[in-house]
Parts: sequence; C-alpha cells; structure tokens
Amino acid sequence: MVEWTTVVVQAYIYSTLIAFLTMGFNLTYQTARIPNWAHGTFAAIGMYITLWVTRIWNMHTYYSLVIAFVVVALLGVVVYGGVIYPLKRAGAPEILLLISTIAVDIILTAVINIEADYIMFVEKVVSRGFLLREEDIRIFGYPGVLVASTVLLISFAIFFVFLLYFTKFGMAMRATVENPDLAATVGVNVDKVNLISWFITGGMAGISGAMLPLWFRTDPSIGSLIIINVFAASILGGVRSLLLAIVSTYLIGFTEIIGTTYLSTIVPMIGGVSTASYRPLFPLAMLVIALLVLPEGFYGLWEKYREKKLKGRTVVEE
Amino acid sequence: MMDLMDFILQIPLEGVFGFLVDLMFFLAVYIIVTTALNLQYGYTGIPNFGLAFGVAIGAYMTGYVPGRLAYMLYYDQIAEKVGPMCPTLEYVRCNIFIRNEINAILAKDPVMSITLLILTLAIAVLSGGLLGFLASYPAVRLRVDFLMMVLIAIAEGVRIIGMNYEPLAGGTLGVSVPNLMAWTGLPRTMQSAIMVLGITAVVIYYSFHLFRSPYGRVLKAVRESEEAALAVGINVNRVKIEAMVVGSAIAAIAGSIYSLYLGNVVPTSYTRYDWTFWPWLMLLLGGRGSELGAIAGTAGIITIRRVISVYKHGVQPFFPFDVVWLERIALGVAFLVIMMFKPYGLFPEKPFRIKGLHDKPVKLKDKG
Repeated sequence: MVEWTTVVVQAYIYSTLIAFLTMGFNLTYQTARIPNWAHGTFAAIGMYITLWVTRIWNMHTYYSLVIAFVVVALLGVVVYGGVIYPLKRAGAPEILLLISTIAVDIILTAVINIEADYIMFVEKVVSRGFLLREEDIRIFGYPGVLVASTVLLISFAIFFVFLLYFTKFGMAMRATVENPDLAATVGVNVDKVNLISWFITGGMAGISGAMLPLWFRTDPSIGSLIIINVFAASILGGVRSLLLAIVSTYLIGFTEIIGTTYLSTIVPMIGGVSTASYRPLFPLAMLVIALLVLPEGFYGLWEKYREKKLKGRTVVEE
Repeated sequence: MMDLMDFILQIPLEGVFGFLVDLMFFLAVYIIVTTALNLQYGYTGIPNFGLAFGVAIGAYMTGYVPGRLAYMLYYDQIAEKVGPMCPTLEYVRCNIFIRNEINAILAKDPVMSITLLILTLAIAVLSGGLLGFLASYPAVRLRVDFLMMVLIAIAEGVRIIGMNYEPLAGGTLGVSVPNLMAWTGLPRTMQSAIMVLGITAVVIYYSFHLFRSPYGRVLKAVRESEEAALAVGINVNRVKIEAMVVGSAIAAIAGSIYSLYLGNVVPTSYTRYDWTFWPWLMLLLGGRGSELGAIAGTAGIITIRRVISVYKHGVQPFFPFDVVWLERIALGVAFLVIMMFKPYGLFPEKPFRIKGLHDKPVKLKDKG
C-alpha cells in the first residue's frame, strides 16, 4: 500500500523548501506593502540554475545553491529597483502595484520557458519534468537535501531574529514595517531597507528553488503552483510574523501531501482521473478558508490573546 | 442582392476572408470579456483577477448542457446508430459519434435548435452569475491584495476541476458541442458569425445602457469612495455583489459563444493568461471606465495578436524555442509600459457632464 514514511519525508522536504519562500514573501510584503506574485517564479529560476550547473556545466549540485542565491538576489533587486520603486514614486495606486508583480511574473515565466526550450533543443538535455535526485549527496545516511534544507532554514530563521532584533538595520527594517512614512521622517532610508530585503528574500527563493529538483519532479509551471502555497501559508500564519509563517507552511504542506495521499487511498478516482490530479486544490481551499475565517492568521490570534492578558494584568494592578 | 450573397459564400475560407471572419469572431468574444471586466474593475473598482472563471464556467456549461439534453431527448434514435461503433454509449467517451448524430437530427429541427441555444445561454449566464455571487463574498469583505489572491485562486480552482473532472467538460481532451445553427443551411462560418455578432450586439447594447444610466454613476461613486457613497445612501455591498454577478454572467456568455463557435470545449485552454491577463491589458490600454476605450483597446490588441498568430509559424524556425513565449514577454512588458507612462490608458474616461451644472456656470447667491 502507501509507504507512509516516504510520504512524510516528501511532505517535510516540500514544506521546508516552501518555508524559505513564505519567510521571504512575508518580509517583502511587510516592507514594500505589496504581495510579490512573482515569488514562486523566483524559485523556478533557481531550479533551472541547478539544472544548468549539474547537467550542462557538470559541476557539483551544491554549487548551484550559491549561484542561485546570487543570481536571484540580484534579480530581486532589479525587480524592486526597476519596476516597483519607479511605480511607487509615480504614485501608482495599489492595484497597479499588484499588477506590476503579476507582469513581472509573466515575463519571468516566459524567460524560464525559453530557457527550458533552449536547454532541450540546443543542449539536448531533458528540461521539463526533470528530477536530479541521483545527483544528490548523502549526509550521515540521509538525503543531502533533507539535511541541507533543514540546516539552512534554521540558519536563516536565526539570522532573521538576529538581524531584526539585535542590529540597527533591523530596527530600521521594523520601523519601515510599522510605518514607512514615519520611518522616513526619522531618517531611515526606506528604499535601502526595501532593496536589501528584496536582495535577501530573492536569494532565499533562489536557494529554495535550487534544492527543489533534488527531490521533486519539476517543470517551469511549478512557480505558479507553489505561490498558492506561499499565499495560503502567509495568510494562515499572519503576514506580520516570519516564524508563524514557517509553522503554517508546514501545516499546509503536510495537509496538502498527506491529505491527497490519504484521499487517494479511499477514493482512487474522481471523474475519470486519479485523485492526485486534484492536489493543487488543497492549498487553494486552505487559502480561501484562511482568508474568510481567520484573515489575521495565527498572528492575529496571538495578538488577541496577548491583549487579553495585558488587560487582565492592568485590572489586577489597579 | 442574391448575387452578392452567392459571391460571398463562394469565397474560399482561406486567405483574407477567413482571417477577417476569425478576427471578427475573436474581437466579438473579447469585447464581451473586456466589457465584463470594465463593469467590475473600470466602473465598480473590484479588481477581478479571476475573470477567467466566468468565461470557463460558461464554456463548461456549453459543453455539458446542449449535447446531453439532445442525447436524452433522442436517446433511442442515437443509441441505435452509435451502439455498433461505441458500445458503452457514455456521453463523454462516445462524444464524437453522438455529436454527429445530434447534428444530423438538429439540422432538420429549427425549433429544437433555437430552444437548445437559448437554454444553453441561459444556463451559462445563470451559472456564471452564481459563481460571481460566490466570489462576491470575499469581494465585499477583503482588502485589495487579499482579494487578488482569492480571485486568482478561485479561477485556478475552477480550471483545475474542469481540466480533471471528465463528466463536466471531458477533462484534458475536451468535449465537442453540437452545432445549434445547422438548420439555417448556411456555411458553418456564416452561421457562427450571425450568432456571435447578434449576441455581442445585445451585450454591448445592454452594457452601454447600463454604463450610461444612473446606475452607472452609482457604480462609479462606489469606485471613487465607498465612504462617500455610503453617506449618500448607496448600499455599497449590494452594488459590489451586483457588479460581480452581472460581470461574471457576461463573461460566461463570452465563454459560451466561444465554444459554440469552435464546436468544442477544451478546458485546458481557459488559462488565466488568455482570459484574465490579456483582457486586463486591453482594458488598461484602452482606459478603465471608458466604454469606447475598452473596445478600442480590445480591437488593437486582438488585431495584433491575430496577425502574430498568422505569421508565428513563419518565424518559428529562426528561434531555438517556442515563439509563444515572446508574445508572453510582450504581454508583461506592455503591462509595465502602460502603467508607467499611460496609467489611465489611451482613451481616459471623461467626467460626466450633467445638463445645467456643467454647461452653464452655477451662480451662488451672495450672502452680502
């Protein structure tokens, strides 16, 4: 029957890799005030960097992590500096800013597809639905991607806690999140904060994408599927919190993969196709439910709880 | 007069004539879609990034309803002929054979054809409206950025269900639609052209009427300031729900006539690129909230896209990749260019002129 260990490992790696994206998505959402619709496609670019490094340059797979970080981080800077910043300065309304990230996503998706076609026709390497699991190393007997993604995710989480709460730049960042105009008035360079946050989050998306083909079969359209998970996790966790975003990413990733597997053991076919084909509906449904039932996410719940507690304390003190 | 008709009918479908018919058809369908978006975004200010779901549900219903109804009505007659070729007699599996039999029967029965056509359109409109009503639940409650995510998510969900759930519209392979205009005896293109242009004319007339009526001004009031609209007694939520319902119903008409014209429904073709992003670009190019601007934007972009689609195969050998992606890049770049340089489009909407208020300067009494 179903190998549940494999399913759990799959769900774990999937969620870990998406957690990179959710964290980055939340950070830029908070500083630049717009959801970056192209964030999933940033990861897809990392994916193709891995393919290029491993299959065409024949280098070790893990070099692609470094290259993907640099390339996608710079891409993030270009997107913010070249598209969002000029639009914001021209006073574009929020809707146009939202469309601008969609436009960026359309362009990047097309570029990835062109690259995939090029790899296929010119370099004669399979570039759609490829899987590089056999290129991966084993660390202490475990798959490399499992260990590497966990270690990197924890390092990034620690790095963010340190950056946001123990450095002056982090303070500027938090000020920008609270109120960009006020932060600018007291001397925070909001554009610098934004550029740096797009740099870091772009790089994280690149790393996440670079590790994706080491465990999953991937093709260019995966960015538009992953972004739904990112949205759902971001909203369920509450856009204001990076750590709760990680928790909700795991929740949604496990629900998606284990839910689909479980459902297909009960009902193998729905409407003439295997139940697994409906897998993208899980994060979609979670997104809609989260938005309608819990629009402030777990963070909102936590804040409410804290407020209640504080109120209680003031009563006692009086 | 008769000679002219014969002459037109004798022109082969290839070449310029075929291209023009094709162009006119795409123009008509997309004008309906852009009108729906103009109602929702241009007038009411709801950024419907899930426009494709209205179109898709209209198309699915066109794949689902008329063929099955006709099959049910003439089951004995059809089963007798289809049985030897396709023993299961399932509608989706034996689709091609069943469709041929239905077409043969309907060609002799104008009353039934017209009834089915009207019924199909009505069901498409109703289901589009129903889905729009469901989508209006978030539309009246959420912030713009969250709303964008939910509407895209709904459209993707509808597409995924349509692509996989075979009984609805045949899954990835699609399902064919019976020809409901065969009784006219005209060539296929002419039949479809009459139907498509007729329906489009009705939709355009209706929408212009709506946009220029006092209700159109109510919509714009909601767009400009919800608080101010509330203050003058407009039920903002109700107006938004109505805009979502009517807009999605109009989009469903587009999906329905698109599949009636093509004679089949292929759920994989109702992507968010073709039915959400391109119409958005057309509306932004023409100018949101300006009814002629929306039509002009649609006409410009559709013409360019159809010309590209003709020459596409000619340039393909020069590129080591599919040239479709160049068109996608152009789509993205066009969005950015319009937003940076022409945020109100090429034909920006004009303010209302109210007789007596704008034509003559209003004199205020001196409070000397």
